[in-house]
Amino acid sequence: MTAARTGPTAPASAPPEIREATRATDGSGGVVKGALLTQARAEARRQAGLDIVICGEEAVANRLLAADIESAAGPWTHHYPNLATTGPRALPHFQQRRKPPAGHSFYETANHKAL
Amino acid sequence: MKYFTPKLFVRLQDVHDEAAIHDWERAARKYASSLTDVLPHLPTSLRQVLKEWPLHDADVLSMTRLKDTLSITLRPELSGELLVLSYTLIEAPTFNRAALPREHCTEQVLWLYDELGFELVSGPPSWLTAADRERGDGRATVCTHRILLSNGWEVALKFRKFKLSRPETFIPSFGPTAGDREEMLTRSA
Repeated sequence: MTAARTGPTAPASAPPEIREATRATDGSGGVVKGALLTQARAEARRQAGLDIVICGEEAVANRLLAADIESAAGPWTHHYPNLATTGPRALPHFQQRRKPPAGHSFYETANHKAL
Repeated sequence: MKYFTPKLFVRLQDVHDEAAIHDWERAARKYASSLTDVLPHLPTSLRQVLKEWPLHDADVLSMTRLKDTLSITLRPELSGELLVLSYTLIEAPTFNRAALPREHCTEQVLWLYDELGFELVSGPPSWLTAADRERGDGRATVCTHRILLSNGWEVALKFRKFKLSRPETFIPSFGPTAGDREEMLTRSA
């Protein structure tokens, strides 16, 4: 019987950060991250039609948290970038299926980062 | 739609479908690659649209046709101005009004995704571009635009000319900007 492997464990990733977000207006589709938010503040921001972004290394955790926050504003739709029409710096996002409120819950992935 | 298919868009709505995201990213890479070949064949003003106005999530305010000209009036998401895209069609537009399942459609019509392409077709000499005449096979270059809208429609256009207009707009007047909403949230906090 072989002993269980007890090698070094991978360092746990930092939890996702929730931040205020604004949109770049240069046609790049970029999302500029701002101040840190609690989830409650982020939900209030989304209900007011403003953007938020989830930042972090774990794309799945970012996506699920973005969906959770967007749900507080109502039923959402999930959009993934087509860089030709969303702009080269665009991020995937959730938004309301029926507006208002306007705005988006953006999230980072390995290939798509906030500015 | 060849790349950003309605079916793939529907799969994206399941946040646990990792394969859908990989498939979407693969489709986006393939489309970007195809666009490299397509761009030189597009009218200059359409290339300008691609470069300067991300159309994703633009409000589609009207789509009208007069004879062979189809016009789409859009309000890009981050803009207070309207864009009017006018296509000189070579054949009737086609509409699939049930591209998305009803539960994924919205009443407000937004521009979701689009794909540009080109084809060589037989046509009258007036359709030939300088490049067509140089090639000398008698065929004319025409462009294609497939558009997926949030109301569930897929629109396919085949056209030989394109014009972009940016009219000064008095009505409709548009609602509060993101800056206005930020101020309202600050005041209410």
